[in-house]
Amino acid sequence: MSTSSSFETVFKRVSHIQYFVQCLKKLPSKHAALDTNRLTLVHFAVQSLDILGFFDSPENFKTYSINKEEIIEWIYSLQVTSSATRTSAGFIGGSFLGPDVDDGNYCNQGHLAMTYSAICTLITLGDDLKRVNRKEIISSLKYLQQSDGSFQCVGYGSECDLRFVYCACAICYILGDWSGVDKDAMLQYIQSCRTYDGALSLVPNQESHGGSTYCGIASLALMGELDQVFLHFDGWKEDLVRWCVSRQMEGMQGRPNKLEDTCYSYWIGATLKILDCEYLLDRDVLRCFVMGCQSGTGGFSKVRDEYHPPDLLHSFYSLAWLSFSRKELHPIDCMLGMSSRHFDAFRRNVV
Amino acid sequence: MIPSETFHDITPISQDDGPHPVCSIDYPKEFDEAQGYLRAIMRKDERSERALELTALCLRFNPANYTTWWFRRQCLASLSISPSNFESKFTFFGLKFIAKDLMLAAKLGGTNPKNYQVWYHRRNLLEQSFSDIKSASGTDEVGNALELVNEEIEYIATVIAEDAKNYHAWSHRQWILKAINMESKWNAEIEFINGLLEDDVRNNSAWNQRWFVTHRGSKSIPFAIDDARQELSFSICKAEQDPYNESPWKYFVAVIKEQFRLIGTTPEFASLIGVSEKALEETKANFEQESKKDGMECTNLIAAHIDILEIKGDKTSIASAIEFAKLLESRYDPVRKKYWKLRAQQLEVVTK
Repeated sequence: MSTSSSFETVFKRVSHIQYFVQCLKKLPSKHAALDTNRLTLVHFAVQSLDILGFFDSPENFKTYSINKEEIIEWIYSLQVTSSATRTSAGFIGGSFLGPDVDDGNYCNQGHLAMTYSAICTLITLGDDLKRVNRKEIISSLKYLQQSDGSFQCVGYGSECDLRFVYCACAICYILGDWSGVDKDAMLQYIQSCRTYDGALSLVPNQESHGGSTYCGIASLALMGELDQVFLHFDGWKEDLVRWCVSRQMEGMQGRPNKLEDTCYSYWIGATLKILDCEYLLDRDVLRCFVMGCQSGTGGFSKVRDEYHPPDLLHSFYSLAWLSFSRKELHPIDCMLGMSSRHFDAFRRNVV
Repeated sequence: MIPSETFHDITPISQDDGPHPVCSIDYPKEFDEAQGYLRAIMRKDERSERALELTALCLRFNPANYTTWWFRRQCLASLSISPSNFESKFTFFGLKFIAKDLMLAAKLGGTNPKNYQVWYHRRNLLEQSFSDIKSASGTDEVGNALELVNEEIEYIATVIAEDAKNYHAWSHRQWILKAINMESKWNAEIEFINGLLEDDVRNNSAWNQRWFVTHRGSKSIPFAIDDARQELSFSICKAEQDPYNESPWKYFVAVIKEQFRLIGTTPEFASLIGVSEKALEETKANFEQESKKDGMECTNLIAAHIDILEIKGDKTSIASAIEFAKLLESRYDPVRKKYWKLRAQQLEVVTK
């Protein structure tokens, strides 16, 4: 099914900017289910605006009433510095537990994915992370890592899977400190998620999946262990590349025999990029699919039909993949899922 | 929604987003109100019946709030009476609470739950009981636990009936099967999988589950050769129903590769791979006869053939593999032509 009124082959940069700016301000009530993940939504919007070059023109801040410093302050207001034992420091996804996240309440703990989102967003906004409690965040990672090497996302327990292994790796990599994690155990866990058809599942024994494959491969790359692992598992890299390219119909599917979805252009495209094999995709056909999911009023949806309006996640990941090949877009770093140039600048300042 | 008498002593805490909130959500008024009371109750750490009721109310608005679920479990644990001398790494919940909350999670999850929190809640409720099965056979606890197991397996089946590829449902199902590790359940699962493959032979989740079950959830115990033959037979039979279908071919090749790593230099393996290649070629021939189409169109069949030829490794096989790869590149699998070009190049290196 197609909504011919919203199908555009022209890249609607201004509409996209308007879409993300509006999201940064207010989201409609159906987003109540994302209340605990607001930091991730901010990350999607800010990274997307950076891809679009929004931050290159200072006039934009006035035109669209966006203030970088205010966003930075709001993010820092969500930092949890509690130092009670067995709690996770970092950032909480929103103020849903109350205005003072640092009140020592046991349930006010850092959430690994929100900490990842906060750090990436701060860097892209030009912050130097001086106010981030790096030491606490790194040392509290040990309360999150499990004996099998996986991670939960919060000190008092959660499901454990490759998503949080990835968040932990990205945080360690960005902060330049792996002292809070057992790398060997992480390696073991990632390897235990290998599937019989050559990719990675979210938890051991489960079905191969584009999202978990990205999380695992990006984690290995961030750890600097990719080459070693491929040396150890003869033939795995070839099987993995084959699995990834097999996901392309026109757009990318997340699993064999599932529907195409724009976000997998990033999950699979970035995985292939890490493996230096992104060129193997039929980029023209994929671009056609992604652009077909562009909304006339800004943003991208997961598929092109009347039931799926654009949403922040699919909008960001569509742009993230497009940023790999469109010259007018600022690229996303394929390992970190954030602005490449801003991370480089941050890295240079640290050194 | 909140009777004012119940919380007359509680001053709700409003959500203060600071002077410049970002990505503000336009909460429904009732949600905001209920959350206000919950914030106060959680700050007090009051683990009571009324707190329990309040969490249920708030979860109706946002069933993905992991902190609300966590606090609810604190309340349930506080209100439960654990047996004397109770020692476990898992939390104890009273049986009636388990039953009630499984129902609540089912209700809040909807017919096709794709929210991590409801599934994690179910697991939390059940893990203590399931650990009873291994440790305390013949007791009342085990009887109760087995009933819970059966009901949970049934529940997951209803979700899978709604969406046969619900990733969370399958993860949860795998967790139960491995946790209880009962031969009767493993065997029953094969029947369940077969039923799903009858409905949809392309259901990759079902194929993955078959690999999981036939390996008894273990990554370190490969198939014995007879089991491998059986699995090859099964997968090729299914592949014949739709030779375009990727799932059975990947399964087929994975079985062969597993045996190759184990017994690759033996005559048994040579026989196994020979038989497999023949069966694949027969499938292609049958397809061509019935459909009057070119079997090369079944790119997943051809890709599996290339894998087999590469494993065989002799000069003739590699030459055939290269030929197939070049055909896929030039004509039959255009979206992946760059990949097949690379594949052919890699195979040419093998020849040298």
